[in-house]
Amino acid sequence: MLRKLTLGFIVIVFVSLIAYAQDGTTPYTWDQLPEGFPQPLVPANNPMTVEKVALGKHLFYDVRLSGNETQSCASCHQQELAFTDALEVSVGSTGEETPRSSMSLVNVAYNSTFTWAHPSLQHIEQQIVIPMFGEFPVEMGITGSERDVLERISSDPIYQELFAAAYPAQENPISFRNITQAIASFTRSIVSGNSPYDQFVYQGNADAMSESALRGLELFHSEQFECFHCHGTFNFTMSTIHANSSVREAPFHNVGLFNLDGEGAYPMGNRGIYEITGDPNDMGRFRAPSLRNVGITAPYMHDGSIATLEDVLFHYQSGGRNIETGEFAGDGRSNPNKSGFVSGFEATEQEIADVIAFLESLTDESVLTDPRFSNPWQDN
Amino acid sequence: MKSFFAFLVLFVLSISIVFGQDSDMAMDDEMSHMTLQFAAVVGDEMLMCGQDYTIENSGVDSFEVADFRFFVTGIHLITSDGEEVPFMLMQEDQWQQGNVVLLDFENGEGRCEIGNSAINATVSGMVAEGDYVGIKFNMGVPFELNHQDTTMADAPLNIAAMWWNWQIGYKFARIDLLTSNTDLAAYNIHLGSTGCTSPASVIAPDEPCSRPNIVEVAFDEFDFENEVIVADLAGFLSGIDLSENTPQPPGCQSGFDDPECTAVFASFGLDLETGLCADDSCATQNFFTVRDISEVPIPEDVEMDLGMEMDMGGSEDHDGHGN
Repeated sequence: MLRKLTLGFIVIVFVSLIAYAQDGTTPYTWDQLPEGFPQPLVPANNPMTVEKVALGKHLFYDVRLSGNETQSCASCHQQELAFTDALEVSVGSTGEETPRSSMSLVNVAYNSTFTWAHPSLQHIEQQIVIPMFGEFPVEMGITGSERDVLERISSDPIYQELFAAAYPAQENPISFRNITQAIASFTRSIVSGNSPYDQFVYQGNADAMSESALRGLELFHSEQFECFHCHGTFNFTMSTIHANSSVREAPFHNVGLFNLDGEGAYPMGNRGIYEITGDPNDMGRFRAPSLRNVGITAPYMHDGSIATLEDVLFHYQSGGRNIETGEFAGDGRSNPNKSGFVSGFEATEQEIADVIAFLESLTDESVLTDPRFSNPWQDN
Repeated sequence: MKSFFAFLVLFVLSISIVFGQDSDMAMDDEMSHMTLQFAAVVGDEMLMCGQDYTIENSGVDSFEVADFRFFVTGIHLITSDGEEVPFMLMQEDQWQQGNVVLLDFENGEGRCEIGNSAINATVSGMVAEGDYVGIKFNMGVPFELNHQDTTMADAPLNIAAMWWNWQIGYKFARIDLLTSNTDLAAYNIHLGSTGCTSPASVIAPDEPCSRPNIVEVAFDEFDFENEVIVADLAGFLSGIDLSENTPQPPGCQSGFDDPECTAVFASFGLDLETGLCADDSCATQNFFTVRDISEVPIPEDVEMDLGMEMDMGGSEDHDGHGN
């Protein structure tokens, strides 16, 4: 089947090369993929082009895309924070709190699924429309202002050029479909793997990681800590898919954060994929995010309820979280849905410090300032 | 029952192919195509995700399966003269390539959270025509293939859930259980090589690991027409008390000094200290048995696609529907 795929792929590439020669767009080639990284998968109905990525970058950083012109994608996905926002939960353009913490966009091209907990959102294009048009809660708040938003975009000559370049065959290319596809293409292009860990593992730099981080790496991969069972692969999440995948691995895990009723309940509005599937086994199950750049993406967990990496390590060391008082009281350690890899462990202070040093070695400083992913409006 | 009937048809078909009535797949006149059927059970019941099982003397009231996959390599069929003839795997992109096949009995349902929807219980290959009376194979991954980067490896060695890291390599067998023992529910059994020496877990060793922990399986009398190879969890657990479980890690992840590994390795027919077969043959293993096909529930193979067509620069789909 792969051979068929490969053959089909070659045909597609060949046909598309002719197509590009005709319509003037330039295929995006992934020629800057980090060492050791596989090629991302791209949906066939939204192929990557240089022009779409450029258009998407302008849209990503443009507050005119929100209903009240106060918020862009970049408001909650800030480059210097590895495209997160440092808040426990993100706040929409009208001031409404979302139930979830902003997720990093670095390497989302490899996500098996999108958002914290949704098994059927398998493409970025599907996710993007949630913050754009969602009403419960309002994020970008486009719903009700669709015409205004399109007018604002259409009236800017920069966009007229960018859309024409990205969609040369279309007479009226300024549409929400094309906006979504272009932002998806830009987001998909944010691939990064130049952390000290990458330099050590893939680039042959034996001195890239500290002694403490190297000890932490071994602990991370040990059966004592068991981190890698959910945060495995080159992207540090088992929820990873790419061009060399032959099956879709898209797991979700309950890590014992809550246990409101002694039977495993999580707080309303934040019950994991249970809210999608209705299957009692799915209560409290969320996607393990990539740990790349985790040193600068605090606070942690789907609800931002853990402030520091030290506290995250304490959570897993304890095999879950026991909340003694308040509306969320309950012992998450005995949540019946808890993953079989969150059983708790003993560790010295030094070992905890080593694992944190390792996690901090996953920060790629270059992606935080890489002009390929920076605000293009600041140049104008 | 329906699946059994389907299997029977498949089996008869494959047997007919064995006897040379279909040369379509044959590489040359003397090679025949054959499908080997595997099954996974807990006693008499089919092993599957999302089901509670109770077995006597397990030390726990019940347990669920959270994962059940294993690698098989080096399949040989044995003739009545005792000659071992290689079974050449059909090359495909999901379950079997080179000499390696993954048998996968989890389908991602229930508590099988690290799994996926696909199931593979069959091995497809070519073998020289002959009078075969027995079969042998290894459960494991040989050293030469064991320490590659799973991200770039050929299927089925590209499944991250079956891999530790460059240093230790693959989980040859992954049997994750969640028991009714509320103090420590997880009992995870991960079989793989140990004593692998390299400067870090992200660096492959130059020398073979000191304890290979590869299970060598042989059935000298195997009726290819009427029998199937069965991985029986009940038989495997017969000498293992699931309530005697210690954390760090729960169950046995092949650690030579992990208390649970003593019983688990005995059931694999392995010597925990040497990493070789106990009694030179692994014949004391309780994992695989051979049973009459009429006595065994046979799972249907389930294929899966990636849910995403590959495209790295395809032509623009102007008429397509976004999102």
